[in-house]
Amino acid sequence: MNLNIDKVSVTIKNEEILSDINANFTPGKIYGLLGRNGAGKTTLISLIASYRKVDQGSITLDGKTIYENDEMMQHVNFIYNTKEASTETDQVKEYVESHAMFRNDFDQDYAYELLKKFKIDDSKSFNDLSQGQQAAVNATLGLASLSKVTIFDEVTNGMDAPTRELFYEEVLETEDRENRIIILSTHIISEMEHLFDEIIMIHEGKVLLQETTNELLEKGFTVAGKAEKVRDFTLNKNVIKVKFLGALQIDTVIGYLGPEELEFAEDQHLDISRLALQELFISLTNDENGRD
Amino acid sequence: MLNLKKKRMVSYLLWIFLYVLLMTIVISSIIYLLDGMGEIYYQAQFSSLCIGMLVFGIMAFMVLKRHVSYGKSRRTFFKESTGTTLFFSIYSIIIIHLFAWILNMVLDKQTQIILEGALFDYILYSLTGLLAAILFYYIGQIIYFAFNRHPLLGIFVCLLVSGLGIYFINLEYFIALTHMELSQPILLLTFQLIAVFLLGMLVRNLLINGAIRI
Repeated sequence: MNLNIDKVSVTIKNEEILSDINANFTPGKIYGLLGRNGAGKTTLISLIASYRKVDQGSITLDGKTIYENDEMMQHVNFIYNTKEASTETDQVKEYVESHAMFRNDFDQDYAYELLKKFKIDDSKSFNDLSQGQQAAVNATLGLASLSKVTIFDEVTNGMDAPTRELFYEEVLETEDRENRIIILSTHIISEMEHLFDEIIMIHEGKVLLQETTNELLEKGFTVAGKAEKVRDFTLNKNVIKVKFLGALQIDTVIGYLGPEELEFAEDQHLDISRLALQELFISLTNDENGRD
Repeated sequence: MLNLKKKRMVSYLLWIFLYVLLMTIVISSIIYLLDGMGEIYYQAQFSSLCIGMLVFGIMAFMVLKRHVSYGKSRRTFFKESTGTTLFFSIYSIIIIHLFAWILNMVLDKQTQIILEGALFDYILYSLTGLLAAILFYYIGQIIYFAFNRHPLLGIFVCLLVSGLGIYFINLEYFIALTHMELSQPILLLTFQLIAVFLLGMLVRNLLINGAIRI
C-alpha cells in the first residue's frame, strides 16, 4: 500500500502551518521525517493519522482517502508520547488487550515479547511507569500493531540509551517490515540516521526535500587534517561548518568532489569522509544560510 | 455500541445500578418525610440521568481521541457512542422503573410516584426520559466543543443550557411539562425528536470536522 500526500495545505488560526506538501511513501521503507521545532512535522503526521482534516489537497493510502474511512484508518497507527499521563491509569496489559481488541493486525504475543525485552512489568499502571518506560510501552504498541503505516513521533524521548538502541534494533527487525511503511519523526538525528531509507525534510511548513539517505549524504563531505591544508583545500567551496580539534581542522562542505580533487586530498594527507545527516540538516534548515 | 471490554462494561453497569439505588434512597426519604410528593421520583431520577449523560457527553471527546488512535472514523464513533448512550439510558430507565415498583410496594405511594399508574404513562415517561438523556449527551459535547473553540463561547453555551435547565427544573413548569406529557404526548415527543435530530446533526458535524490536538 502506497501512501501519497498530494498538495496538502493546512491553516490553523489564520497561520499557514503546511503549504503545498507533496510526499510519497512506499512499503518496506523506513522514512525519517526531519524538521526543526514548529516546522509542521506533527501537524503533517496528524493529517496522515486523521487527527485533523486537510484544508486543501489529499492524503491517500492505496489510492483511497484515509480521513473518515474506517478501512484505511485501520492501516494507520500513530504513536506519540502523551504530555500528561496522570489519567492513564490502565495497566500495561490492558493497553495491549485494548489494542488487540481494536486493531485487527495487532500481534499480542509479539507485544508481550517486546515488553519483556524492554523490561516492562505489564501488571503496572501506565501512569506508575517512568517517562522512559511509558515511551517503551508506546513503542511496543506501535511495533506490534503491524499496521501498514506506523508513525512514531519522537517516541524515543525519555528512553535511556540501551532502550533506544533496543528500539532501533526492533524497528529494523520488526515483523512484516517489507509490507510496512515506518515513519520516524525525531530530533535525535545522529542516532537514528542509520535507520532511514529515505529522508523527508520539512522547513517552515514546506517540504524541503525527499531523497534517499544515500543520495542525500552524497551531497556533501567532511575534510579533516592540518588546519592550514584544510583551509586551502576548502577555500572556494561551500563550507557550512568549521570545527577544531587541537591542531586539526574539520570542515563540513556541501558539494561534490571529482577524482582529481580526491587524489589531491590524499596527497595532502586530508581525510575525506561522508557527511553526517545532522550537519546537513542544520545547514539546510539554518535560515541565516538560506535555502534552495 | 462502542467496543468495551467485558470487565469495564460490567463495572459501568454496576456503578449505574449503585447510583440509581442511592438516588432512590435519597428520593424515597424525601417522599416519606414530605407526604404527598411522590411525583418527584421520576423527575429527580430523569434529571440525574440527564446530568449523567451531560457529563458523558463532555468526556466523549477524550474517548474520541482514543478511538481515532485505534483507527476508527469519527462517523463510526458518533454512531457507536450514541448507541452506547442509548444502551446505558435504557438500562438506567429499567432500573429506575424497578426501584419505582419496589417503592410503590414499600411506601404505598403508587398513585403519587406515577400519576396514573397506567402502562401507557410508563412508556411515555420512559420515551421522554430516553430522548432527554440523548439530548443532554449531545449538549455535553456541544459544551466541550464551545469551550475548545473559545472559553467565552463555552461560558455562553453553559449559561444557555443552565438557563433552560432552570426553566425545566422549576417545579411549576416541570409539573406543566409532566401534564403536557400526559395530555399532549405526541406533541412533546415530536419536539424532543426534532431537537435530538438537530443537535445530533450539529454534534456529528462538529465531530467530523473537529481537530484532535496532541
